[in-house]
Amino acid sequence: MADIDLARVRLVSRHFHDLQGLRIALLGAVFGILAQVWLLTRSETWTVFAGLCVFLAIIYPTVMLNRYYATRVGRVVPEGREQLWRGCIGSVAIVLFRVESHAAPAYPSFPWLLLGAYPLWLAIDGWPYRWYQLLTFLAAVFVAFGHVGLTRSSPELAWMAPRMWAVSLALIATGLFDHFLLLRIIESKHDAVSEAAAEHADTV
Amino acid sequence: MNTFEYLQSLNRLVHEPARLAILVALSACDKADFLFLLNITGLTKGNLSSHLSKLEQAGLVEIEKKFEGKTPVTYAKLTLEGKDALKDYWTQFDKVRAGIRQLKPLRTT
Repeated sequence: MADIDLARVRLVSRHFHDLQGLRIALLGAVFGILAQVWLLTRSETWTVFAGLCVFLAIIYPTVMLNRYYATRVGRVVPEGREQLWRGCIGSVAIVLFRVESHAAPAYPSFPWLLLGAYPLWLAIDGWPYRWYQLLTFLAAVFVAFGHVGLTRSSPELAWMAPRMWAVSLALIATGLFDHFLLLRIIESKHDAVSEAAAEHADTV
Repeated sequence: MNTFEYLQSLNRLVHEPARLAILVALSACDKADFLFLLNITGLTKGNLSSHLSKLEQAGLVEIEKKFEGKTPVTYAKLTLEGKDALKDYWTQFDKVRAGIRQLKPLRTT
């Protein structure tokens, strides 16, 4: 039988949905498009409209990607506790974004720091395989600190677009890295099995 | 108990590498399908099926067959007994490792 690295088995099983990186790359592209719309129009209405259009446009590719991963790699149902944690982080971040948008930001953006903590945790939990998650963490910190001293009426609000681009590029890069990591782990198993089978055939 | 007794008391059903990989994979999620286990362990379909049957017979794993749309999917899930067996295995294994570290090689003259 082929050598099995239990750390990698655990990593893939535990983070199976995060490792389906093409979906994260798609999310990164959406962030990039919305940042570009904001930069061009400087209008919240147009950005929300673009957001709705992009949301409708990505439904089909998302369904196709789900089908691709299910038929190529398999299906894993994550633990309820993990899903609950992700849901809590997302919900708290949304609430904090609403609260923060009404206050003068004298401090780094807390919801961005909270969102940045998730890829940091992924990098630590999957070390050394998923070091690149630090890119998303750094991009989130970059956005969080760019927030200081600006109000919603500031003309410098355009700071948001280039920083959103940083998040977008980081998400695309980490998504692609995750996708190739998943494929590499699975293909290495098949290669190892083929080698083991060939060795076995030699000895028979 | 000494190191060798701990070594002897390791659960053989869990200690086999392919079955250990299956149990580790299932312990990190709620449930996983046959294709995923096939990919992650690198076993052949026949071998995986045989190992899963043994684990199911021992009550460590539950097999659930269902349809998702028109596709038949076979899920494997670790039972409470399976979780306990894996936890006990790691505890025993840690004791074996700790015991081995304390062993000194014999000097031959």
